[in-house]
Amino acid sequence: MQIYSVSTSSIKAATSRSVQIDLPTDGGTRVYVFVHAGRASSTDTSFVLLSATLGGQAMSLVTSLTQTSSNRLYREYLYEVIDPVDGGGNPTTQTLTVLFNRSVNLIGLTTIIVTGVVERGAAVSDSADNNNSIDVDVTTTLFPGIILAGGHIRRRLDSGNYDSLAATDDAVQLVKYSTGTADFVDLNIFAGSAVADAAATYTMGWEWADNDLTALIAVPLYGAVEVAEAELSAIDPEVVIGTATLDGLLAEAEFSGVDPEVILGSIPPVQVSGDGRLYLSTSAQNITVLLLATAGELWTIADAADAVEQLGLTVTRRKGYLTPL
Amino acid sequence: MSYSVLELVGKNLTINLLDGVNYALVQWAPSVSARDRSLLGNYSPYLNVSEVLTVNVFGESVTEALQALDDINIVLEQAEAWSLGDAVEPVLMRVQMLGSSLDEPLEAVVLGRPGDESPMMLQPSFNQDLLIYEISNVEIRLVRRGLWLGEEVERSLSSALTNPAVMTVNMGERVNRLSPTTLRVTGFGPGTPMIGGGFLLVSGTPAASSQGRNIGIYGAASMSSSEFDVEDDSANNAHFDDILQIDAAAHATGTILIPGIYAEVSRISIFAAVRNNSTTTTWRVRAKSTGYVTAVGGWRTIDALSQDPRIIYVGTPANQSGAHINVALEFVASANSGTLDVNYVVVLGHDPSTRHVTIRAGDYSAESFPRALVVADRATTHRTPLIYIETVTE
Repeated sequence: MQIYSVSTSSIKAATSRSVQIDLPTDGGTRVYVFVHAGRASSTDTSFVLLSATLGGQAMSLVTSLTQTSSNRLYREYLYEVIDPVDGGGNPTTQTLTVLFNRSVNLIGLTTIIVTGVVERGAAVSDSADNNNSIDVDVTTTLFPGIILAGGHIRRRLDSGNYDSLAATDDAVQLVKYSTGTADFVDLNIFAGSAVADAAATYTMGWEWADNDLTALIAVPLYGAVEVAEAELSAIDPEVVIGTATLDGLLAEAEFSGVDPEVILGSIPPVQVSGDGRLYLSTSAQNITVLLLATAGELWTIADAADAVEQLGLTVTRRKGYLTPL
Repeated sequence: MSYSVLELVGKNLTINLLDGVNYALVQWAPSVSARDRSLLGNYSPYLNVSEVLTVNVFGESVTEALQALDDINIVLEQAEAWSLGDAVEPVLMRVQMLGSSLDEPLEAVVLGRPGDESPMMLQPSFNQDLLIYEISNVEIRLVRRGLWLGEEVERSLSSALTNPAVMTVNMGERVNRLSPTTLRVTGFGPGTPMIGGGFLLVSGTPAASSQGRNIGIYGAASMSSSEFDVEDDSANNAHFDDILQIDAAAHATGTILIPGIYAEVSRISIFAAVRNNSTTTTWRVRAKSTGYVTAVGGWRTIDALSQDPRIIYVGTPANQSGAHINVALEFVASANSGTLDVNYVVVLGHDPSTRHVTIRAGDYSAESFPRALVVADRATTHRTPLIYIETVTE
């Protein structure tokens, strides 16, 4: 599992924002979009996000939070798309669009694409009206994992908060950007991640110089396919070792020491994999498989309670042809 | 022969040789592969083959025609790079006959150019009359995998079986060619401390054979011996509960006989689950097949490095009669002390589609995901198959 890309986009005084993102075809690809928006008005600050789509399909809302502050309204959303390329059925470049019901002062999009994800945990969020730091604790239940976090602080004029904004605790900052410097309503937006290589509690934190309004959303991701370190060797060579028989007379050889490797010429040729490059080939209607393995002091594979394991089997075969049909 | 699909699919370019815009197929007679007679395996049981395709390359301008020509070379170079081990994706040659009943085109991995030949042969003429820019009779020369690959079939056991069970999956039909197959053994729960090392055996009855299922697993009740005694070791999950045990103090040599296996094949491989209880005495073991003819394997050593159960490969007796009736395992101790246990013996009859795959030991007891053991053919994606442990979700 790894972060494939991080991208940002922002716009002032708009109803919607669209960006194009490049998507990998790797298994377990997921797109996470932190959407930040704010509106200032002395009469009506209300606004809502009408739709968030990727490639024309609605993204799934993971969580959201809302903050108000003296004629200002801020919202942050976290959206998710699982397997956006859909096994190759969808394009690898797609348009991400968020649409609000009315014009807002700012829109900020932080898009993080992660590959190799098997599962997502519950999102955690927090907000504060007047702080110089924010953090959330994310407890992971599986591993390996990656924790993503995205948040914002209001950008007060003449503040040094943008320069001082930095990740703390377990968080590693991936990106920070600002929607602008002119308006009191502007936001400093940030995102980060943490590697969660054990089931534990991780603190995703940020800090800055002066107290201000802030919000943060974090989510743990788990997975994915893992190649065990010891399993990369090869398919065992099939070498005929033994005794040649000729005209019914037993010509038995006693091999001492290292076994010689003898291919008996009288036996139909067999495929021998000298370097492990030979894949499994079958043609039968019924495929028979037997896994022989032990587990420590036990004769058979056992579960965590030392009971004999129940195993299933799935066989996948691509039909081969020698001439086009 | 007429085709509805004929294309070379690269990472960023797909050369549609039938598009009528930039390419027009002049002629192509598909090469037909055959079984590889080499004793050394080379990825597939079928030989790679060379193809020569003659095409006319067009464009609405000189530049477009030349670019279309170069596109072919770009794709062929990607294929060559993949074969050389570069971190690029493979190039697939896809073909479908006009009127084919298949839902999807067949595909084969392109490996690059034949030998040291040029991948393309150009002609001296360049036609630019009538505002049609044509490079005629361009020869595309390539090597591809011998097998065309079509539809994928996936089948699973209807329910999990207690390890070590012989698991048989009905694929719904047999196929006429040895076809790339991926196995996924599932059901390893979170915290399963698998695996102490062993083998994954694969077998099947080929289309042109009448022999039956050819993996047999034999426990203490199916084996006889004058030197080994039957002991209960169900506390250690012994298969069939019992084991056979020999004490070197009483018997420095011993034989286990498994009568009547009736494997109608020339070669059988024999595996055994054994436990050397001594830290000093080593044992030698060999396999013997008797019946029509006698075939004896070489000696293998059971060392004293571990006192845990382990799976060993005993040998591959072979004879020209094409059948084995009785199997015996002969043991010799290195000293007059220590005991050796045998839980079960497995006989694998070999046919063209049988294999045994070594599974290396791995400790997953501290990990929290359910797992699957996968032997993947990766026939259209990678240069080699792969054996790996995969994290899965339930």
